[in-house]
Amino acid sequence: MKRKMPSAIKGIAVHTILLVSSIVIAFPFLWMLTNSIKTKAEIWQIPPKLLPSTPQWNNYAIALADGTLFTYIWNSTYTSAIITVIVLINSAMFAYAITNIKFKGRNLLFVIVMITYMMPVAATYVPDYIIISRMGLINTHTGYILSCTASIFTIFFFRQAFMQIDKSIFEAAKIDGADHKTILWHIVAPMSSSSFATLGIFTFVGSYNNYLWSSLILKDQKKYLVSMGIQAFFSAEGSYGLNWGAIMAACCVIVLPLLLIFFIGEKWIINGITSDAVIKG
Amino acid sequence: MKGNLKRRNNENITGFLFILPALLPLVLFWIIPLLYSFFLSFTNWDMMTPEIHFVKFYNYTSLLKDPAFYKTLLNTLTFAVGTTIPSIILGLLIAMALNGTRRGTGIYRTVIFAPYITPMVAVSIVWSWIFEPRVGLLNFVLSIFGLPKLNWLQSADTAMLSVIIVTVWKQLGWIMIFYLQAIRRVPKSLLEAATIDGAGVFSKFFKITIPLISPTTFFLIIISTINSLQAYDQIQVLTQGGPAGATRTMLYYYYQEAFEVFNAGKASAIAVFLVILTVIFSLIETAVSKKTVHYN
Repeated sequence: MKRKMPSAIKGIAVHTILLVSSIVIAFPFLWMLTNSIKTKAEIWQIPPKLLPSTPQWNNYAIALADGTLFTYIWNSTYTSAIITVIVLINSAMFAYAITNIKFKGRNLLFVIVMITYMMPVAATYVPDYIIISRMGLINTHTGYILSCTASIFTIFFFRQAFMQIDKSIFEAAKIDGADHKTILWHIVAPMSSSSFATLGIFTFVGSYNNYLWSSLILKDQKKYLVSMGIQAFFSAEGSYGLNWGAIMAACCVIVLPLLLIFFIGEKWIINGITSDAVIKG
Repeated sequence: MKGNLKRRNNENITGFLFILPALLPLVLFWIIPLLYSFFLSFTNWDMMTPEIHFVKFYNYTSLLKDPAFYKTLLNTLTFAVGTTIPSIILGLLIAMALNGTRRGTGIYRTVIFAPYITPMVAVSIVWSWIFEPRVGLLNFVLSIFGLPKLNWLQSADTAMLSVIIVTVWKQLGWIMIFYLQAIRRVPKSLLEAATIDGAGVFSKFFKITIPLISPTTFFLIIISTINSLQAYDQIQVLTQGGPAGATRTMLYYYYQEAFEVFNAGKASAIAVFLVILTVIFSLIETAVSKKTVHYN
């Protein structure tokens, strides 16, 4: 009896912490959702109402009227997909080479990568912009994609993951006559599939949501990614009396599909992130 | 002997071919630009005229004499510490709580992690509405508790706090996930042995769990501070560095100098300071970790 009491208290404390944090964290999303179907009067009402008396789907009609939001979503989706595939392949190859191929200068190379890893990406913006413009690729998705194809973070984490694979596996494969290409794609990659999943998700999410760099490269509104697109919509609606209902509706259109995909694939995504290979570092 | 040499040559060629696909963009978009930035920091180039004039250390000395620069430095430090420490403490607390329960773990975990995957720009727009002084949700919550309303983004006193709140809200789940995994790796036998010895919940937490997860804490502090030095999206949407420069960080200052004023030289000098700051942070954190982090 004496032992049970603390565990009951502990249970209550634990659930209180979790419930309160979940509500606080989820609330901005709920607020976005309910405000997206309120009238202007309801939005400016004090005290605020959680739910509108009649849902104003018209806000969505305003947000989607010219179809640009779908263009932004498509732009973000396809550029991020290409970037993710390239980054996963070239980073895995690079990480494999510096962990398993004994070639001249690999230690020096790793030191350079580590130093670059500490550098803020911002320090590259001005020269990168100039390079992209010299290549004639300003205002093109190609320029944006190309400039995002080196990910030091991904290389670094692949290296951590690959170093944890038992060396004897490589030796055995080499004795069987496997070359490095086969070892990487048929042995190492399947063994570190969770790292591929995690880094793939990080790369995709990062580039899907990219704002600062993409806004420097892409000028034409038709080429905007979602973050620039939603910001442009925000400024446009803001200029004539802040139509918060439509702005919230636009945010919903951008955010909800992402949340939906995340809720469906939650287990898979989070288990990938928390797999030992990525974390140990 | 000859076979060995041939094999080593082969390894050199294969190695080179393997690194090439990443090395090309790495050199073109990272290494050359970093060196070029350093070079530009000694010029007063405006990003348009073809000729570049050297001004030696002018950009550096003028920054070091400029009170506005120190303000951005202070803002950057405030933001780094103000986002990292609460994220680490709350993330650990939530991870401990999640670890202490079996029911509903998945739902809590999903909800708390969700902000991380959403675009910072979109959620910052939502937050700017929550911060709205007159009818915003946050002031309504304050008024329920009988607290005075705040001007949040519109006041120099609370703007930084507002930006920090949004940032912590967004990255908390990410920190929690890493801690969750670290806590699960703490050996159960150690905790059970401590319980038998009469150790309470708190002494087990501070004497066993905290030391054992310290490598994760170290990793998270480094990543979180490096991220904080690069924060831009939320600042741009919420405050544009204002009011009165209250939320202008070094990175935001860099952006303004480079792409609003087109002063590539000064911007590059700010970037060099940002690099120095990153290195100093990493060195301090590494030095502290040598004393406190337990690797087994």
